[in-house]
Amino acid sequence: MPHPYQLLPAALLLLPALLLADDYREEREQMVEQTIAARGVTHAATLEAMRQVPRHHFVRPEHQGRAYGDHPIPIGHGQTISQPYIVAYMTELIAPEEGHRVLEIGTGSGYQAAILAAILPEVYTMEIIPELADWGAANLRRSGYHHVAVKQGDGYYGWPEKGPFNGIVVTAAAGSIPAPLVEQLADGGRMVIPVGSPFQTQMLMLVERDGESITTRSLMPVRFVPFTRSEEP
Amino acid sequence: MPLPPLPPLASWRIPLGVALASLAVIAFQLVIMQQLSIAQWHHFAYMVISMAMLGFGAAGTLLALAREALSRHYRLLLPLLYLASGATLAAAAWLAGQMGSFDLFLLFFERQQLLLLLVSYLIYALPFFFAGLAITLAFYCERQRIGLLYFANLVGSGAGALLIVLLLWWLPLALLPGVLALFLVAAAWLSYPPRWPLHLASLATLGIIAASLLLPQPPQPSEYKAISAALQLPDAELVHTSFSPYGQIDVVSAPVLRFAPSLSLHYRATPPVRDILFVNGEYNGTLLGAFAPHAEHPLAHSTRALPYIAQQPQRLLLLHSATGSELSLALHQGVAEIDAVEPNRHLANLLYRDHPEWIDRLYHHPAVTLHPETTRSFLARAEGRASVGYDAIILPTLGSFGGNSGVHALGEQFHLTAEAFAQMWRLLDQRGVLAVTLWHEQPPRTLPRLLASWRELLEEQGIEALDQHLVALSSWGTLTLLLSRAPLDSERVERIRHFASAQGFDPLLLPGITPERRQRYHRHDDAGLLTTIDQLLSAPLAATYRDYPLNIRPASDNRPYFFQFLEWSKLGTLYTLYGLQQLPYLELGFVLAGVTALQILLVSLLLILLPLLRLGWQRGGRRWTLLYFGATGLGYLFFEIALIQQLLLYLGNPVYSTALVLAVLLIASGIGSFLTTRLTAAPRQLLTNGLLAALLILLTTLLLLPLLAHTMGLATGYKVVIVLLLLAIPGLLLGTLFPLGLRALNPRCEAHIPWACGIDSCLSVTATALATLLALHYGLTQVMLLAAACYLLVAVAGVRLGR
Repeated sequence: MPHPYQLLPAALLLLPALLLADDYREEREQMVEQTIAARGVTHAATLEAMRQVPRHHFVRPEHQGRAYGDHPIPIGHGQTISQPYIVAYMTELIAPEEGHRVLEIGTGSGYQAAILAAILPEVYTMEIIPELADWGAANLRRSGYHHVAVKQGDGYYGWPEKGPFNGIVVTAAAGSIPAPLVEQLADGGRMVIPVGSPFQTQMLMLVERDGESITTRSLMPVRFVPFTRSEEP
Repeated sequence: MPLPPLPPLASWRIPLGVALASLAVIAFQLVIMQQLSIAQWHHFAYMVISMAMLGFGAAGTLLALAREALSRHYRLLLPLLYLASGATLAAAAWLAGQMGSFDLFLLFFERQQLLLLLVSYLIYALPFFFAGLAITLAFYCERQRIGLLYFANLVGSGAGALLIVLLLWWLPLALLPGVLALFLVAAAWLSYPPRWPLHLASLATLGIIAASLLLPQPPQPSEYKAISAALQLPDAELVHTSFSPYGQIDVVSAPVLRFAPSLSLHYRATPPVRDILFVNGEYNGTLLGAFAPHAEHPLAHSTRALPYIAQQPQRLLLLHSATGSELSLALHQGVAEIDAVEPNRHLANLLYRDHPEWIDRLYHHPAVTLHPETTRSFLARAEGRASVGYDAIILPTLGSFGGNSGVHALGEQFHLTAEAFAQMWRLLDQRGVLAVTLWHEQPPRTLPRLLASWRELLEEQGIEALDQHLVALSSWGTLTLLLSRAPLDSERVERIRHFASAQGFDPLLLPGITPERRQRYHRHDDAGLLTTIDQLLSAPLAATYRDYPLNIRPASDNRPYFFQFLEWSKLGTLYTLYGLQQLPYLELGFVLAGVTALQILLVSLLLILLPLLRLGWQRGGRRWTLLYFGATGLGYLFFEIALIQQLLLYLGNPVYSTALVLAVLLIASGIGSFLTTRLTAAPRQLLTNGLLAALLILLTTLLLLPLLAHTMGLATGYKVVIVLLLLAIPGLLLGTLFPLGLRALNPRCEAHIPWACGIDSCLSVTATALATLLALHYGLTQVMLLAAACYLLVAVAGVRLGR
């Protein structure tokens, strides 16, 4: 049996985590109320997922204290974890519901996949940068989302053997909407792509499939009123 | 035992040392500009350099505070300061690397980035501080021959501006700090008394220089730059790197770099994999190469194909043809005669002379003539030719996928001004079209400004039925605008309509289009885009300009900043929409220019006021010293910056024209300074020279643009002679005022001399930042007028200076 003094270092090591664990729950609640629901996200399952998923598990240790702020956070390799509002809005846009199967292109930290996995049992995610794929997968495991399938590879071709998908979330868009992804979209399926620098207000693009018809929509996460007509004659 | 007195130096040694030191530090400015533009962005480079240049001002302040102590050890300090400048110059890149990685894009998110930014300022300011202290000390201690020393200072600086252009072609960028530091060592040796501390300092400096040459520190691009993203892809490889005054060109190859820019969603073929070319780490173009006539060309499935649908052009002008992807499409479409204009000579040489195989020798195709020059100089020459009539003029694609965060806001875009569009219009055939493709952006700003420019152009031509001349075709990612010289006939309209349906594109503007057809494939949740387009074609323009939350007035040659959209008066609205953290990224360049001006103003104020602790606040004509040297610092730089920007349009080549204007102006001023040795620094002389300088600047302001417009089409050699004549006399006269002023301070206000040097340096740097902001808002002509006003103040202050 260990002597009590032998337990002291371990207790000291765990102390910060024990102290901080509940604090983050409060921050998550604030995040949902003040920056997500307040800006118009109403999808109940999405809001619940945002309340559950420990976002601080998906950032680098030095950024944990800022994990719940309304801003993107660098995760290395020139990538960022999107601001919480964008993650919630993108999730709401693909309208995940029971029985849906979704694919994410650009795992990054794994946070978006975790939000989807908190709602759905079948989530697939791909990441082209090997180091990020490993880190994202580790974050998902650490947070208990073992049912997310992570694959390191080129997202251009999607994951045809697991398709078709009811929803596809592309977080690493680069000038094109890959035809294979459009083909892997189920009838009635939706694909969402954020457009713009992660540091700017991102415009979201929604691709919808209705049979053979494909349409796109530019959505405004922040309503911009570009022109007000002069009241003078 | 006291040391033996130092032996006298030959009279030419100190001036030559000053010239060599000035050469090195001016050239170093351009090296930092290149290094930081590659590692970060151009505007960050500008911000750091502006602050670093305050090192000169700080030198004046220190000398004003401790002039007795410093001047007592002048002979020993002078070489030591040159050596310190050389050592810090050679080690700057290494030191900056040791302090952690600053990233501009994180500046508004991470507080520690502010600290890193301050450290960067300090590191890059050191070489300027030490060299500035050495030169100011020489000015003070040898004030009897200030005319000669200032001549050496200016001529050295002018030579530095020219030499660095050559060095940037010949040597890798990372080696240049070490090479330039050798000039400072030479300056030290020229003023070198035989004392053992100097031998040690010399050896140490040479050791640091050797280390910088043997272990060079190439700039590392930010991880948020496009090249960093490309290099992280699996099996990515950097296959080429080369340097020139135009910047660093890199080519990256990776099996997943596909070329599919906003292609139609109906296009199901696999996009081609091609290498990508980057300039200073930013995407410049894809090395697409040629496509066989029977093969599918990917761009034929994009909105960029619009000019070839509207008609079958035979004579085509491609502006900024870069890596030739538009050229590839034009040749695939069977165009018989193509003029391709590319202003980046480094890029043009690479793809035409060194590696034509990268793009399947597109520029060697018999139908293609490559013109390595700026758009405006080509347009001016083309207008001079007897018969030119292009079926289509295609401008470069504007913006990038997702926007560009406004990092280009401060760049001059002379090819997108009202005057440029008017020239293009004149060069079009009767049925010719002008075409430009832009990426969708949020909030829309490029499209409204372009439409406003074209509407004003059509109205100038007396055309009222604007909708008969304009087409806008939109895909999910891009929008191509077409301006037709003749009204679009039903056959052309039908062809465009058919193409749009086949590719799944929406005609936002097309004669006879129904509202529901405008958003059939791609919808905008915000109806504002369509409203804006419609308003810009029909509503009074003044009201539209006033009510839009961004500045969308057309750019002009006087305000050639096409990508600058922020307006101080509208910041409140934008802040409400975007919040404090995101607002800076709407137009990062503009925000950085503002931040730069503010911090320079504050530091300058501090550096100017500090010496008053020694000089006293009340006595001895300080206000006239402040006014005289403040106005020379501001006036000279206002004039120089406005001239550089306007002559950039005239001379065509941005790199050489900047070097030429700087060299001519500085050398002419140096000669002016030398001639002051024959003048007395009497109040009447200062008044006369000040008034003449103001008058000459005023005349230059009034005559410059008409003169340049009339002689724009001349051969480059003639234009260089015109520039020499134009700049020589004002340059000569402006160069007399600083040394005459310093002599006027001697002997009665001799203590003011270092302070005056500091004021001049600080306000020169302040002028650079202010000139940029003033030009953005009011235009280059107004900046020149301000320069004239500054020299009027010089004349007034000259009457009381030193009395």
